[in-house]
Amino acid sequence: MSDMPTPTPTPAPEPTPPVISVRGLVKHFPIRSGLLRRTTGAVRAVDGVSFDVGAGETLGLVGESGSGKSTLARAVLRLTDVTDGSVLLEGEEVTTLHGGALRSVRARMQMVFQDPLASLNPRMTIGAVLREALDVNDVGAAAGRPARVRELLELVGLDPALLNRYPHQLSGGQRQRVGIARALAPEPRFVVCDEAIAALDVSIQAQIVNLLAQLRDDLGLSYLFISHDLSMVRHLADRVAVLYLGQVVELGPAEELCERPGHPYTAALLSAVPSPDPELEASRARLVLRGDVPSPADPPPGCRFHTRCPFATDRCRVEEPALRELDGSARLVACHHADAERPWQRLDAPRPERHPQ
Amino acid sequence: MTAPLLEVRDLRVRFDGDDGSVSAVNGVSFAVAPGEALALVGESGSGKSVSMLSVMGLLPPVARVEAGEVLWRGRDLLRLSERELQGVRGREVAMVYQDPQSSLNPALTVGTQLTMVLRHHLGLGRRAARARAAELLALVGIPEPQRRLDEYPHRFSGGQRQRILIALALACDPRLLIADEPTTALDVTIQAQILDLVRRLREQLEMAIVWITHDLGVVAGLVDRVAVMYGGTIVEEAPVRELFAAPSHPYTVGLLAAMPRLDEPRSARLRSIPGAPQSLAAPPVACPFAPRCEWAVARCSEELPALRPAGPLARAACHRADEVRARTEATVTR
Repeated sequence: MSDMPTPTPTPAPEPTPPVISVRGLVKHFPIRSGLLRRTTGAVRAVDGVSFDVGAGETLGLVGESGSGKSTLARAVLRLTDVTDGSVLLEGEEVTTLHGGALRSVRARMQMVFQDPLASLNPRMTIGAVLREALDVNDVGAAAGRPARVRELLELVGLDPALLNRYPHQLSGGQRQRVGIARALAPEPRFVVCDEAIAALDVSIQAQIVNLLAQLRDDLGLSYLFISHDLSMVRHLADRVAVLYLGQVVELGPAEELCERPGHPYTAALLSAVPSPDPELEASRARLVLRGDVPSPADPPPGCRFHTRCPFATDRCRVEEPALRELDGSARLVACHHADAERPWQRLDAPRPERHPQ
Repeated sequence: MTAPLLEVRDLRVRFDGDDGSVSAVNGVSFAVAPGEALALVGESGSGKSVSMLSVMGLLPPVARVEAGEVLWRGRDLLRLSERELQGVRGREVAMVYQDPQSSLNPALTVGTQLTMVLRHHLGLGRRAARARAAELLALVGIPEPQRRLDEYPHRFSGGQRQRILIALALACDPRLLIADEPTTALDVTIQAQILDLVRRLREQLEMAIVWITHDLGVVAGLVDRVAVMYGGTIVEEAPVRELFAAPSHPYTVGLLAAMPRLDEPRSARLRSIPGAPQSLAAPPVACPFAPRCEWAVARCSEELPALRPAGPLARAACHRADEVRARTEATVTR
């Protein structure tokens, strides 16, 4: 139980331009059918998403499977071509780049994957993996790279003696540290963590999240932190974006959004998180969503969430709600009923006010 | 107290692999009463799944039960023939696994898979089996059960497939349901649905449950009792409220502290447990958690602590359990 908590208030982010600025991002996958493989429709995996991530900021991204989280991440990193929209990395348009220009931009935005065993070449030693990341991105002078590999290992809390080990000789937590070191090799400004702790044991998750927080603070990194674990997202992220069927339904400061969800879907996600408190669990009223996420190939008309929303009205079935500011706060919500007395806020979800410190 | 349904006594299991052998379960004892829900909580390699696979007689060939008894209503399952075991497994004791994708046969309709079980175990006729299969699908909350019996697994969502697996497990009205991380692969919203379903079914069918998981959060609202495993041993066992209110083993304390909570103010850093669990080449002669434990003293690396009373109904395997408990009772942080 190391890493004693030092509750220092996070300094307010400086008013610098965003590191990543995403506007109206769309990624559709065509559906082809019939003899001529004609396009008969599209899976609208990401359907008009906009957000910024500031310098040193962490934006959490949550949503169920099928919400488009991973496709969004891949589109932002230009690991896939986008259908429409714009992604600016420090002011530079990424969606239209090709070849060498794209490679040099990619060095500044990196990704940490969910499964470190699958994302590390089993035949390469840890040292070779990191050396390759330096060589490919042409980081620094070749002569200095062996030393840099050692520095990277120390940076993520690994003993440089592990240099000659293979991935299978490491524990899950150690492998994820290597995954992080590889992402940091080209000295990126922006790192996407796609379910980077999901495959790890509980006690190791905390170690990795602490490491990510420390690296962010020390190196001034910006993160897009994708996770299904809302408690972890609230812990690490400054702001959170909630994705449903390829669209942002709510975006706002992490704590505020978790305490007073503006969108019923956010409320439902929070309500589904089991609390490690038997007393609370026994008394808690839950908002359990019926059914699954509808197909992104055929999203419901009106508000996309209306088919599962217990609070939906006639208006929700026909009119698509715009993402708009909630009562002058820093919060964006796409719900017709977000201004009214929100019934989903009376839910007995675990919130800090129940347990004053 | 009524006689236990299942009683495991001093179970010891070894794996002999190419990379040497591993002591996976090192003297595990626990009991489950009729209708009771017990959680086995532990991280990978803690021995929680291996313990329950031994109960079901489903260990892989490289594993060997070295000692112990698995008493099912007084009969030792470890001494039954495969044929005798089949009368218990699937019928009186049923199991649900983590991955609904790979546990259903993709080439057979859901109806065929359900009726096969019903006809084999209960000897039902074709028509009766089909009627019962539709009832089971309705029981686990699949809409239009009659029609959906004729569909193949790929037509169902992940959450629905897990419901179908639960329906399969419930087919023969088992007295005990063993669930091995059945919600781990699911979204939190679908997990909440499945947990609700299991709570409802448990009341409705009066069946006992052993819920195997790495997630302490999931079990808080689900079970009566929790056994926390580490290094192939049970390190703490307590009624669920007592365990969460005043944990007595440093590992339990560490697991609880490592999870950020929605109902607590944010802290800058999480309290993590240093190091990683190690697999054991031989049964431990000292506390297996000592290398990672902030409470460890010299004695901890010399002497294996026994599981002994640590609270009103709690037991912990820690030389300093009384001190740990005094601390957690004093700092009621929750």
